[in-house]
Amino acid sequence: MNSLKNYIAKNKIHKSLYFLGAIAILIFLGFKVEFDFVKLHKGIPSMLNLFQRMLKPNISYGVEAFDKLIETIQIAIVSSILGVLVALPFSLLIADNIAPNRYISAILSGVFSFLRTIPSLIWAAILVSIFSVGKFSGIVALTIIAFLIALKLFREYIEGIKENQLNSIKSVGANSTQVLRYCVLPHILELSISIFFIVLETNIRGATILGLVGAGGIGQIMWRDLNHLRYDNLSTLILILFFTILIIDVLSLFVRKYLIKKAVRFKSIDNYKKFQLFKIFYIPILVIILFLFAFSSLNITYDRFILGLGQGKDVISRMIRIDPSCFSKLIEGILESFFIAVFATIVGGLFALVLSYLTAYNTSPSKGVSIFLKGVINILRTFPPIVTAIIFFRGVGPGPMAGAMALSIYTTGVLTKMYSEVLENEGKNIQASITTTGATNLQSYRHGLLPHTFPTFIRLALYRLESNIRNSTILGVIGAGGIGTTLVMNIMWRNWEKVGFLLLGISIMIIIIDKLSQMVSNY
Amino acid sequence: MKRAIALLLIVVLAISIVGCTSKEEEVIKMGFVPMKDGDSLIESVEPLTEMLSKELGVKVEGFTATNYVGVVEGLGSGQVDFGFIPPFAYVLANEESNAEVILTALNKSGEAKYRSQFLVRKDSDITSFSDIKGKKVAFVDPSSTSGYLFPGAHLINEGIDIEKDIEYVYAGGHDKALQLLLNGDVDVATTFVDARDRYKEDFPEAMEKTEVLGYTDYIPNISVTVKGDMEEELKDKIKVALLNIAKTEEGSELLKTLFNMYGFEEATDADYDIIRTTAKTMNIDLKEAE
Repeated sequence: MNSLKNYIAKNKIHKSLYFLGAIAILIFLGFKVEFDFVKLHKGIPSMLNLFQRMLKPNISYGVEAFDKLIETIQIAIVSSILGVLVALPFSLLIADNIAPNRYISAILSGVFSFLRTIPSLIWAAILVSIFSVGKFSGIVALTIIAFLIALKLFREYIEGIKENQLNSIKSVGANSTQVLRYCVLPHILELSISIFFIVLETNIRGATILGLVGAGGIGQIMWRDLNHLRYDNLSTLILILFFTILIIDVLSLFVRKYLIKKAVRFKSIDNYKKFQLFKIFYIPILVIILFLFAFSSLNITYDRFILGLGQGKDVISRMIRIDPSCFSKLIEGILESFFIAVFATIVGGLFALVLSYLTAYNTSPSKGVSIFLKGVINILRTFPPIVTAIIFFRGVGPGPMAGAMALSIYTTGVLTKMYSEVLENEGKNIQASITTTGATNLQSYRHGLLPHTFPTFIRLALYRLESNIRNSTILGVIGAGGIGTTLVMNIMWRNWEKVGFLLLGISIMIIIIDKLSQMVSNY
Repeated sequence: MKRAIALLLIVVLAISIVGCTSKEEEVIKMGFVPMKDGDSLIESVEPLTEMLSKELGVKVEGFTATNYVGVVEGLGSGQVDFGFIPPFAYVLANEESNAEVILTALNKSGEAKYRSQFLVRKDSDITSFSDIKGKKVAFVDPSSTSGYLFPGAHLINEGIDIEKDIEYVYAGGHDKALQLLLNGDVDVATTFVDARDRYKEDFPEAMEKTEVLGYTDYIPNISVTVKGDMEEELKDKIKVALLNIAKTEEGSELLKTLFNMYGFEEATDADYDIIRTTAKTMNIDLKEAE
């Protein structure tokens, strides 16, 4: 009896300590990003003013933008499929628990971690050199991004496969290919579909950067409207993106449900075999068609390609000869980006914990609230962080605070969406077993679902942290703090040696965070 | 439930500690959006803000941005007091919040204006603007004054319908426009004068392989713009302070080497009418639909 009391008391103290620690960190970060309530409060009228100008979407412009949307969707679909397909085999090579060779796995994952840190602007510079501007550069750029995201997701999932599952297959004498074939792949193929939809969504949103490689699409006109301060047109485009992503969401839900149903539909083994055979044929054909489509948009000659490769090589070889003369600038900028990203992740995370409870339909107090919040969250997610940053910039002025607030909002949106889906996928039994003890709905969330899914939540949050760091490098463009300004200016000036150095700094930071988050999620 | 409320209170309290400790001190905030066509990379505005603080007797805080939208919005809400912004950004700021231009910077040749050029390869058959019809043109990007707005309007004035008579791409940078031309991806590229010189390290063959087909109208240089509701007194003070800095030996040297500015000249709104007419030619509506 005593020891139980002790345990409860200790547990309470531990929890309060963690909590106080988190608060202390938040206060520290608040100072670092120059968070200021008074400023925020004073800025509200001017922020609202700008927001109001966005409330008048220009419907006739939407018709004009529709062509661009189709172009964007085309590029996004092709590049997402290609990215996921290429990522699959690589993920088998680098996942810790099934990798055939430890060294290859370590080297490859190092290389890919580094590549993931490269901002899209730099991909653009290199790709335009090699392939000229146009759809193809866009497809290649997004395929690379899709590949890197999909790879990370696949890898994490494979590493999450329980050791005993693998061992049980090994124990019946399976060699490593058989383990792959009968234990890992069945998991992955289902997963591929949902990863495809995640990547597709990211890529459509990433369309805002497509304009930079001259690939057209909705990103280009969005950037133009922003630069002409046409907020009416801008909000039209955001609305269009909102509906597009909504449709993809619904489609994703539908397809995944269909797949689950289909898995049990085979009535006889013959049917099943036929289906397998069919699969063997139609998947390669689909792949070939996609590659053909991608390359058909490429219209350059062999000589031009060689010329471009040479120029791309020049850029890269100059980046390798790093020029550390901007060291102090780098440290200052990187720290600011880091603080912005961590602040945004923690604040977004806290909000997401509360909002997810209200949003997930199995925990939400009422269906109406759930649906309403789902809408709000999707809108939050669709606002490109740079636009939100401009709104905050108008309210609170230059400095890291605008960037930190913008990313906090974006993170809240994305995390709430992801975490509420995790909650929705949980079985009813956890909740039910707690409610039978007479607990309220909130208590069943607090003491049942939350502890159960908290590790997943932390993993999602850490994943956001990494992408927040990448996003915070972009915010510098408008003066909202971080390393972005320096990076973009050096790219514009083609100071590749300095760009190389800045990239190295950013990569080291991201890789350290990556390692830390691996440690935390293992813990 | 009680505990949850207590926790919430602690959080709010904690954040307000951060929020309310900021000292109220009068500072002037300056934004700097370098022109992409300038000759020097402006990484830090600190030397300039230090001199300004000394001249004005008030602390000046500066920041740089590569895109002007934030600064224009900051000027509109009063969060930014004045800024060095490109001419097109000034027109937008003026339209939105009556921001006012007080000075413009002079370039190496002592002028308050510059222009952009149409480049073609020497071996091409384009010798006049009418030859551009049916060819492929590289603009810089749709927000660029010297890489899209002025060259586009120039073509329209030459009787070319840019949507129908030519095929165009946005290169995403003056350097990339030049690169596309050299690589043969396009037949004409528009850049500032002279991108070939700025990027000679990357494209050493640019000078001998390309030639200038023509120039656009003159574009006003970077503007020093103050927010719309600034008191006359402060406005004059900033103006005088900048002019004074440019007069001193130390100041002018610094402006030259770090910011590529060879002095300042008083500017009025009318100097920027050329931007407005050009935007009109290009069918860019500066006003939002009501």
